[in-house]
Amino acid sequence: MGGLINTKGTQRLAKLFNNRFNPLSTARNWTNTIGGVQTTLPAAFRNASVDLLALSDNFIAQYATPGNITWLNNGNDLLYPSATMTVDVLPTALNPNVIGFRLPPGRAIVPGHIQPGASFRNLDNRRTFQPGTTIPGGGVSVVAGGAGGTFTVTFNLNPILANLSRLDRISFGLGGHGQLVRRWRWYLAHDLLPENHAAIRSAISSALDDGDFTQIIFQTIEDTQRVFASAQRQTDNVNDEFDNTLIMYIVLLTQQTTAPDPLDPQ
Amino acid sequence: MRGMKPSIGPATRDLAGQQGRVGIHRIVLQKCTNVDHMSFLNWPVEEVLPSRRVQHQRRRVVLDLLDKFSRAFPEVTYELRWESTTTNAQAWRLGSGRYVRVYGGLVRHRAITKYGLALMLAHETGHHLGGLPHDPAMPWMTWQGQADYWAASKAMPKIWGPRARAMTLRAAREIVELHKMLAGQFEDDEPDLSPDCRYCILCSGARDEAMPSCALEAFALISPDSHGSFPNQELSMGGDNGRTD
Repeated sequence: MGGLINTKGTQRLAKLFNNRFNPLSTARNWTNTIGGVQTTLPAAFRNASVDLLALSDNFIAQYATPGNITWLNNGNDLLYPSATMTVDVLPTALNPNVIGFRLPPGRAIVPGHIQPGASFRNLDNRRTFQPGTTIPGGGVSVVAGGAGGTFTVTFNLNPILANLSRLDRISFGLGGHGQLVRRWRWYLAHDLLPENHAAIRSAISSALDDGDFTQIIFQTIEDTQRVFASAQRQTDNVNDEFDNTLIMYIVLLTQQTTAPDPLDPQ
Repeated sequence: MRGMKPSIGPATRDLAGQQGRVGIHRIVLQKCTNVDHMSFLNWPVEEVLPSRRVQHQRRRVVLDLLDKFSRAFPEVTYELRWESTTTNAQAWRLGSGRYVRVYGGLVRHRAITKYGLALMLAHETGHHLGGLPHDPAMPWMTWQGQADYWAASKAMPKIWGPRARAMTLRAAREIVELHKMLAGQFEDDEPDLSPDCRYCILCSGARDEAMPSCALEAFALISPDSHGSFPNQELSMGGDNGRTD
């Protein structure tokens, strides 16, 4: 959606989804691993009992199935503009400002979005980090133990231990867009109507399951909340005749959100 | 020359049947209270409602403009969402249908006259018809800067004829002023193209000058795949007048 006034946060989300689902041939191979069970992205979207929030949460960096075609090379989340890992080792008395993480089996590189200067939020407790907390230079350790090994993130201020638990999900994002993930998750959890969760999931699933679809284009328009989905057959550039490829258009019409999180400083 | 599959999903609707029809929504203004500045879309909203007389006048002006644009660019469907407090406008697409939607908060804003509204409509039309370069994030549409350039160099002359240049320059000042007035609502989520650069682009387009260097630099920043290059000037200046695929 082009707007008279475009802002980076809106663009970032739109770019994420339009990039992730173009080309669809790549997205069809993405696979998560949760508790030893692997699920492809098309299979996950086929499950009508799962809403978009759960789907997105199931394809975070922590659940990556490492491989050339099974996940993004940078190891980041698939459906959020971030890298989300679960806490493996809580801060200790000796290292009160250090949180430990364990990489998915088979992966030996820290996800791309986890680096000094990144923004971060605890998705399970918004009061974990004190205002002014940052990841200073050298704050992300090298991986110990090779594939499936561990790494640590050192913060300049101590996380509040009472507000942090093992397996809490810490979301790291670049460019000061940490709130964007929280706001998007709030929208999915509280504002997006169940029938529209289903409509979007169904449209994505249809495109993922039909090899004629090459791309999904997402747009968001302000209006009373509803979803339009439409498939467009493409024409070749030479004869201007239909070829066998299709593009799925998904338009989310939506009102303002009730999200309590403020917009991001950058 | 495109085929449409039926819509998918229980709560979906297919707009294909509406293409080619001018869809101007005429909705009675509702009381604008409890304005929430945290729009999901992260867009600014109006803070002050003008008088009823001004509202009536603004509505008449924008409906007249929508009619002009609908006749000049029949491949685009123009809509007014009068009751919305959002200070913005959008170009969007569904299948082969091309839509421009204007929100009431923009139409009623005191910084904008009919010239600014016309340039805004031209800009949104440019997202559909402005040609290369396309937006790297949303490749179905013309990039923001090129939409501005096409609006000033092609669309405004098509609507206003010989008066277009003076009107566009005035409108460009209004758009920049609007940006500045709304800056506080962005809460540091800055626009992807600076107001000053947009002003340069609009003025360059109105004067038949080349795309300014600030635009080329801004495009290079958001389009790493372009290796800093901008599509050739012939394409970027002329647009495709209807072909965006």
